[in-house]
Formats: sequence, structure tokens, C-alpha cells
Amino acid sequence: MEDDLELDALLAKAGALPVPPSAALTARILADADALQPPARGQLGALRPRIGVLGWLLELAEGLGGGRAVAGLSLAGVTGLFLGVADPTALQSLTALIAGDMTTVGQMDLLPATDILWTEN
Amino acid sequence: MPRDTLDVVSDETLLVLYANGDPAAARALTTRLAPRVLGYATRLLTDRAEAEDVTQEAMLRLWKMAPQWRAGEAQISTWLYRVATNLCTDQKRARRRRPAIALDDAPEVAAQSGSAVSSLMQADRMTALHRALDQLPDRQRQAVVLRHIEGLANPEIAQIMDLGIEAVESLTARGKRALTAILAGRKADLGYDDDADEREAV
Repeated sequence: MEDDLELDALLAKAGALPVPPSAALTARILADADALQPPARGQLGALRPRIGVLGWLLELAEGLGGGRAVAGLSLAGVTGLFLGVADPTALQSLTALIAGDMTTVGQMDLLPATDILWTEN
Repeated sequence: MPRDTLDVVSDETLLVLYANGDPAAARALTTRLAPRVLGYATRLLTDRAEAEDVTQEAMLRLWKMAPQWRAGEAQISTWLYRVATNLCTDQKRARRRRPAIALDDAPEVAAQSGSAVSSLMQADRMTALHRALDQLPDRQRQAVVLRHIEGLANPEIAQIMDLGIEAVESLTARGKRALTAILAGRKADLGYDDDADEREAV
């Protein structure tokens, strides 16, 4: 072993010799992989039609984070619409309550002008 | 995804497929990466059972990390070599705290074709090489194995070992010099004198 060439050749031969995993080791690794694998993308995926509006909606719902996220977004949207349309009297009563004006507590109307929501022009 | 398609996609794509629930991706990644980790760990530890444990643990960490893998940040094989390096270091530290074990567990490698005598000579040389590697300091052994047995480039080794490229070059050079010195005393035993005689005769 006088020169690097012999050592290089020996190292190269070592590198060329495969060290195959045993069947038992492969089985152990795959069992771990199976146990830790996340479920297939979304439960909606199995139901999703390949084409059509329903498929697009399901894709969108999945993209937004699934059914719970869509329900939360819907509730937030409806609440925002209500706060924008409803008469502010109810909120005035609420602020008066918080500010200490107790005389209006008995008259507080949580939906004072809901009829405007279904009034036809 | 069909199995023959999985054979040509990148490691990173396979990991994304695994994280998305593709059942075939784990097998394809295991087939591709486990032999490399096992070979590397076996050469560092010179103990097949310990190397198998390291391989299983490294792959386990890959499965756990799959959903958080950030695309383009590193090569999966580089990341895996790094994990395996750290696990082997831990294993060696634990071994030092245990009673010494016999160094009879040179890596089991697949049988190669050739005459019985040359196969035996080859096996002797490999055993000698692994025993010599085992005498190197840990960092030198890691650098030599990664560079000259695993065939990685210095920048990748630098990432795996968390070193600069010059430090890798220095470790590799010192490791090879030490290996040459260790093996020089066994040159005749390993048949290198016979090889030299044959070359001269030709």
C-alpha cells in the first residue's frame, strides 16, 4: 500500500459493493412509513367528481382548508353582513350597558329593524 | 401513481407524494435510499445490527418530517446522510460506555463473481479496509467514507458534516494518509506484493 492509487482502487471497490437491506429491515421501515403516513389528501378527494361545478366547489373547499374552515368563513361572512345591515341601535344599547347607562337595559332590542331585510321595494 | 413512473421522479417528488398519502411512494423511497444509508452506517459503525437500527431510525425521521419538508432547501439524500452521521456518532458514544465488542462484523456485502481465491483475497482486503477505517478518528472516517466510498462531492459533504469545504478536504487527505499508513503493514498479507510482481512480469 505504497501509493494512493491502490488505496483509491480499494475504496472504489468498497463503494461498488452493495450493502442490501434485509427483507426484515425493509419490512420494519415500511411499517414505520405506513404508521406515520398522513391520510390521503382530504376526505373530500374520494367524493370529488372529476369535472363539473360540484368538483370545482369541492376543490375550492379543500383548498380553503376543508369543511370546518368553509363553515367558519361562512359564519364570519353572515355575521359581517348582519353587522353592516342591522340598525346600530342595538349596539348603542350594548355600549350604553358597558358604559354604565343602566336605564336602557330593559329596552334593548337585539333585532330592532330586521324587517328591512325582507322589505320588498 | 404507477410504480414505473415512481422510478423516474425525484426523491423530493416522492416525499411529497408520500406526504399526500400515496402508498407506493414510501416503498420507492425505501428502495432508493435505505441501501445508501445502510451502506454508509455499516461502514461507519462496522456493526450490521447497529447500522440497521440507524437506518430504520433515519428513515423514521424522514417519514415524520415529510409533511414539513420545504422544497428546494436541501437534497433529501444529503439530509438523510446528515441524520445518519449524527445517529452513528451517538451510537459510537453509547458503545464506548458499553463493554467492548469484537470487531468481527465487517459489512456484509453482496457476493461478487470471480474465482474463489480472488474472492477470498477481495474479502480479506475489504475486511482490512474496514478495520483500518475503524481506527480513524470519527470525523476523518466520515469524510473518507462520504468522499471515496459513497462518492459524494466535497460541497455536499460539507453540508452533511456542517463544515467548510477546506475542512472537508483536509479531513479527507489526513484520513487517506492514515489509512495508507495503517494498511502499509499488511500489504503482503493482502496480496499487494503479488499484484506488483504480476504487473512487473507483464
